[in-house]
Amino acid sequence: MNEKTDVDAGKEGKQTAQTEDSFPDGVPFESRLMYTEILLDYYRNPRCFGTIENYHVHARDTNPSCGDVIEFFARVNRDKVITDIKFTGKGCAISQAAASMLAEAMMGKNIDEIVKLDKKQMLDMIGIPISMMRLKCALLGMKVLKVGVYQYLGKEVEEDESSTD
Amino acid sequence: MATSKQSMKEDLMVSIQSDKGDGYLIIESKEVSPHKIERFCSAENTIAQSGKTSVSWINEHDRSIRFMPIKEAITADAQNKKKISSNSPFFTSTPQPESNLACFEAGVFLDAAEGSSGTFRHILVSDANLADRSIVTCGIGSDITLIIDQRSTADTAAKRNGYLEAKLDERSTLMIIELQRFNNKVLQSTTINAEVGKMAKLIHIVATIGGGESDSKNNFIITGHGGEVIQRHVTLSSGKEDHKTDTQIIHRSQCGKSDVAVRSVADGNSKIVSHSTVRIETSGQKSVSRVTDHSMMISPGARCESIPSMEILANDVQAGHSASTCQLDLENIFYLQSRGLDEAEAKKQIVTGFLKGIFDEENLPSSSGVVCINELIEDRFETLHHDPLTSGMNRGDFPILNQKINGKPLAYLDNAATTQKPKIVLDVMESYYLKDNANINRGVHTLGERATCQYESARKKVARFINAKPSEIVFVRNATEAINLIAYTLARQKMRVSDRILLTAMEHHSNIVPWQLACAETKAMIDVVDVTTDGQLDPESLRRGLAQSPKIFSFTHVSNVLGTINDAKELTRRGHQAGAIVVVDGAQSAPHMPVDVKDIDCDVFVFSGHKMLGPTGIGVLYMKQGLLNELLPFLGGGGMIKEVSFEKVSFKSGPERFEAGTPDIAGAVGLGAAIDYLETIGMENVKAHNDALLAYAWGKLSSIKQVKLYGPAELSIRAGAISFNLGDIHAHDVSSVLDEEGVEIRAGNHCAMPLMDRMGVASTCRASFHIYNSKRDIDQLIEALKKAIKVFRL
Repeated sequence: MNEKTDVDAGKEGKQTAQTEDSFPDGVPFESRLMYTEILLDYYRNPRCFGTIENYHVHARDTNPSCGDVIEFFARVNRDKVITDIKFTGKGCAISQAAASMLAEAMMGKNIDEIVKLDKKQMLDMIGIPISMMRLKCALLGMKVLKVGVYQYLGKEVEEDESSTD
Repeated sequence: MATSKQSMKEDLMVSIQSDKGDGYLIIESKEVSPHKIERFCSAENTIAQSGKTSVSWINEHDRSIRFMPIKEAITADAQNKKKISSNSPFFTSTPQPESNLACFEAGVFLDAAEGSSGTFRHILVSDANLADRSIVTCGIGSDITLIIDQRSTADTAAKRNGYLEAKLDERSTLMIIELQRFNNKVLQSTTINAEVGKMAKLIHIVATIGGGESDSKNNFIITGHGGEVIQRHVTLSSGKEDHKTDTQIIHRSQCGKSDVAVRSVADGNSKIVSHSTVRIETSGQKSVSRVTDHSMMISPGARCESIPSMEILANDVQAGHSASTCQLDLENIFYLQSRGLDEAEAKKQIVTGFLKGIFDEENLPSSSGVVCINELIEDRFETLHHDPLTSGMNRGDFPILNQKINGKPLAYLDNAATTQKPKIVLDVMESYYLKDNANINRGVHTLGERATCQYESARKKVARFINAKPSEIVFVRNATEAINLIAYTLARQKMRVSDRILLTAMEHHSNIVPWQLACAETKAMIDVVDVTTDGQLDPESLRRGLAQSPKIFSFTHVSNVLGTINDAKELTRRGHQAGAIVVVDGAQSAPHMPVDVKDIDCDVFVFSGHKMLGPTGIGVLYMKQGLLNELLPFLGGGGMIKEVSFEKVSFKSGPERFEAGTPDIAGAVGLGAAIDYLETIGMENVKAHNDALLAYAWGKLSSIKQVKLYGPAELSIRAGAISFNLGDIHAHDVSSVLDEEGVEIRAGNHCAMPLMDRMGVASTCRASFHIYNSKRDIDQLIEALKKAIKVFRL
């Protein structure tokens, strides 16, 4: 299975989990869209949560408006494939779930995938409408991981790439 | 070619000549005085539409107004750089291809063609003095509704004078709906003269809801066989209002009908007098007439007089009248209370039922205008008898609140971040820019003088507001800038290595970071007074901090997170005892409670305008006179110097020395208006309202088991801000769900990270109140929180 279909399959899985029936009555429709079952699950039971000793890739950043914190660790083999990836952090459901989804999706990927990752891909992965004010939360994990990878590759992060605006 | 002539006043004749959409409106004056005509139709405000035709500008030479095709009118308009749009003060729901219509700011000329129909709304939006003159002619068989909409929320004094002439041709129907809703500084007089032709029907509906003084005269003459006049008039008055209505209906032709119903409700010390006279002349055989006039006084000081009268000269008529004045029936109120309504609601039901009753009759056509009246009555009743806690204080003054967020009514509960602005503040600022704008303390011209006066008058208002001298008030951008200014200048002049600065753990970043910068310059050190778990300053820690003999003691008057009110006077006394310069951050106190800097005795007090109903960009730094004169300027530039050469400079004394460059003059003027507004309400009342909301919200929030509340549980030492968390959910997530329900709160660290650390949380939700907030807003917050609990499965 190539990497692309893998990501797509993951996304599909999320969509099937998001059935309206699974929400209690009286939950506003918009909230059903925003705080999906799957997002809350990633928040409550984050995948790839923790730290790694002897990491190759590492970065940490905060989102001062929310106080969200995300720290990424990853190990990379000779073929530049991620063999282990973990994150820690605290903050809002969107920032933490997004980071967890990202970590899960990047496991076993070539780090070039991370270099190529863009805002749209990240938002597609989260799969919910994100308001402008919450974009920083949604993109914090991606920003941190990119910074870590770029440092590992000895590259400078370009301004617009690390921007979460 | 249809021609109609109307006499507007004795010396002025208006005629409309029309021929299928191409018509002339001719105004003839006996005196040749263009001014007189311009008074009636100011060319600047000429907007008209009539299907194919539109109106052009007044012709100076023959003093006529010429209708012309719309396309041409727009071309003419583009040249004149004026706008014709659907927002024009006159809106017609159905264009009338064959009618002619001209609308001016001061009146309407409507010549409805034979068989045409439509609803026209004339919105008299101007808050200023207004004299409008309108003429309506209804062609044979036409059916016209004219809504004269004078609902105004403005608070300004004005004199209004309305005059309408109507002529109804055979079988035509004209419904005139007058919606009058003013503040008590408006004096209003209206006159309507109408001539009702054969089988024509005039329906006149008036709602006088509020206003200072009103005087309306209606003269309706039935000139054609079977002509009919229906009048419905409701008046609801309060305060010292004085309303007088005089209606006269003359039956001059056979088989005419007239039906008058008047209902008045007077509250407070107001007075309502209504005279309705029907005169049936000898030519008016077989006429039918009915007049009912009932009034209700709902307070001991109110007065109503209902005087219907009939003068019948014909001998074959059916006519009758009835009148009554009564007090509010207490038994009915008790009855409704026994059915579970509270007293205010019972009163409202009785009064609104009494007033609205006259619109329920079958012979009245339904119209949006009548629906408006019902709304007006209810709305007015709310403001008359409203409990500010239930519906908020002066909510109508804040247009921004009247909107929906995500389809839900807006409940704005982020007032500790910034408050909304009453319209009067915006009006004052607009007026400053439109009329008086110039730079201050520089030019010697008239505008310069006006601008300077206004700016200095704002300074005086601020001084009075906190009981200081105007010479002690420096205008800055906001409280943050004020603290930076004082920290920087003190660092430069007063601070030495190893000096101590005493802060508290409940400070906003703006009362931490400027001192850190000052320490970086001077190698001074910061000590922090700890906060107890219930959100108060720790007395032991305070004692230790003061024992270090700090050079500066800077603390917040009211915590923006916990809502704790610190005893500024006592803290200042102890600070002075320890030898410190005392700085008080009043950003959260000045907006919500009376502040007296002389009583507190602090050396410096700072606050922001935008948190107290004023504009953004203006803040206040109060410094005791002695300190102010001692400190060197913060910024250099124009406006703050006495003399400058390249060798030396001397500075002005007084607050100007800290106001380099052109200040935010309009902002200061706006802040002055906000202070006037708050003082009209009274800061004690502002505080009482906030306290009551706080108690209500605290009770409701503590009843939800998933809600964790922060800060003192002793509400008497709290001001109107409540921090809380919902289970383990991040405040931003809670806020996102609340926003979907129209509830706007602050979520995050509130620019107080050290305090958040001390409380052991990353963020909190915060609801904060101001005068316009109500129990309803809090109920909405509680409902939204319950939804959030469902969303997050707590």
